[in-house]
Amino acid sequence: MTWHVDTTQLDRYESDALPPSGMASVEMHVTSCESCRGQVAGRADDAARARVKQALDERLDTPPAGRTERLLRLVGLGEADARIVGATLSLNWSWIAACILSLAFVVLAATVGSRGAGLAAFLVAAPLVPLVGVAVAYGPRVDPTFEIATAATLPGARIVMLRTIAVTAPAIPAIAALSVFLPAGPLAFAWLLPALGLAAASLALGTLMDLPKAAAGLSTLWLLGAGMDLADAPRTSAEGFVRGFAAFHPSGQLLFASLGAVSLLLVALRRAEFEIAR
Amino acid sequence: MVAEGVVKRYRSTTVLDHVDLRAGQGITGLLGPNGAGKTTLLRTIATVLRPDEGRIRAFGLDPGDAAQRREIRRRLGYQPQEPGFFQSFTVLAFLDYVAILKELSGREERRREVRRVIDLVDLGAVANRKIRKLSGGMRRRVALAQALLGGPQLLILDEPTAGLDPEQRLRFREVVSQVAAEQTVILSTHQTDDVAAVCDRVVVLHEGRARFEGTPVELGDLAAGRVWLADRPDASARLSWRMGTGRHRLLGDPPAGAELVSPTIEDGYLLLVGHAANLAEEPV
Repeated sequence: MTWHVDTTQLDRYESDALPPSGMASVEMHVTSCESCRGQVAGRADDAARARVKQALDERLDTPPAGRTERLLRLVGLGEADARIVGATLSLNWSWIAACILSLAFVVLAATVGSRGAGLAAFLVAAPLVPLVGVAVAYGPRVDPTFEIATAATLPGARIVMLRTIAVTAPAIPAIAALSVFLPAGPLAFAWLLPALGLAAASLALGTLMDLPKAAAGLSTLWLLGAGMDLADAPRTSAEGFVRGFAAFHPSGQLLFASLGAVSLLLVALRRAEFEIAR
Repeated sequence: MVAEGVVKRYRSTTVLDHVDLRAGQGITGLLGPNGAGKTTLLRTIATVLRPDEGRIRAFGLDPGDAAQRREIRRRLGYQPQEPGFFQSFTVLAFLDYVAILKELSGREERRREVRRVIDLVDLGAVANRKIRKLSGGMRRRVALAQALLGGPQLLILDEPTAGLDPEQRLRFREVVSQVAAEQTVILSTHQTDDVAAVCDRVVVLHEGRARFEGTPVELGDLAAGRVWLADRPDASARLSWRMGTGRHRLLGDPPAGAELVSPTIEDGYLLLVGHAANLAEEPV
């Protein structure tokens, strides 16, 4: 090698005073010339080098956040919570989308077919979406990291609530948007309180049994109740037919609101039960 | 860690039947056939399951109390028998996620700790690879790495060497031996040579009961005077198999013309819980 970096060039390189071609020339040379590399190393600011290394290590060692996680961080969720919610959504987004799509078809049927039956079908089916969402939110059958998470220190109740919210939060507004297309006025939203009440009740039952069993049991009771009431409901009008199911009476709505509140209280009191597998 | 009289039932089946186990600093091996109750016992010690009867204490704390259970978990690392992963996660993302579950909340603290365990189990080359693209042996290493996050004082490993090749098993032994220098490690295995290589003490579980507790040498000594080499199999032997050398290894009463040999841990284990014990129907 006949050309080496001299002191003047090194001074200018160090102070960033060389033109881009000169900078590139010095850098190319030092990668293959040990003595010049030694000269450059001898001038290095150790503190600056440590800072650059730390910044590089942080960049390389920080897993990139997914789209969902970035969105959640934008709306104010903390990094840890956003990561847990993001992991949940990555498992369940296809399920959520399938449920919403199914309800969309029900809405279509309600608008073109029998109004009473279509409206009843939508109002009975809609609360099942968040209810089943609770079932798939957490548990050994649905979370591959369940045992690892159970043996960790993050409270199980917090994981359950974060995951439940992660699943129900996109579902409920989507169902509400579908409700707008139903020609039934405020009655089209009568599913909301039963949905929230049943979801909270399944969480409360989840302190006694597996969440999927709790959700399945409540879904069955809900459908049986709907079936029995609607079988004898008057068919003179769509509204009259739908209100044949007690859950869609004002008193029934109040009952489900109360059920939700009491259930959430029970969940708070028994939250330690989410920290042990069954 | 102390477990006394631990009972666990699933419906009508008693999986753990008044099991006692003590483990201090060093490595305690849990040996036993499939269905012996090893995984259930480890899950109970790891505070994942609640025992139906009995008493467990770790660091003098009671996992039956919610606050004390959290404190135990703060000092605990657990590798399940079948560790699950989010398949779309990279190794780095998964370990970071588990670090969040372990409440290593400061980003810099988490990053350093994840890097530490990645380097410890030699996963640097695949840190940014998706877990679904890793071999079974590599996934086991990821499972071990997540258990090591936070520098646990009590490390519980369920079948940690299953699926590992000999070189990986050697590396595992190095890592675990290093950790056990100052911590308590309880590991379950089917492999008697893992027990021989790294365990200070071994407990043999069979049908939900602890049949033996002592050192690996003491386990092997159970078969002292009862292990023979012969050129041909002997029908009167309790257990026999053909070895790679062409000779036959026999357990039991001395067959004619056989050569007495020193017992291994495997011999003691087989005599204790193997088919021979059932056939003989007499205490070892």
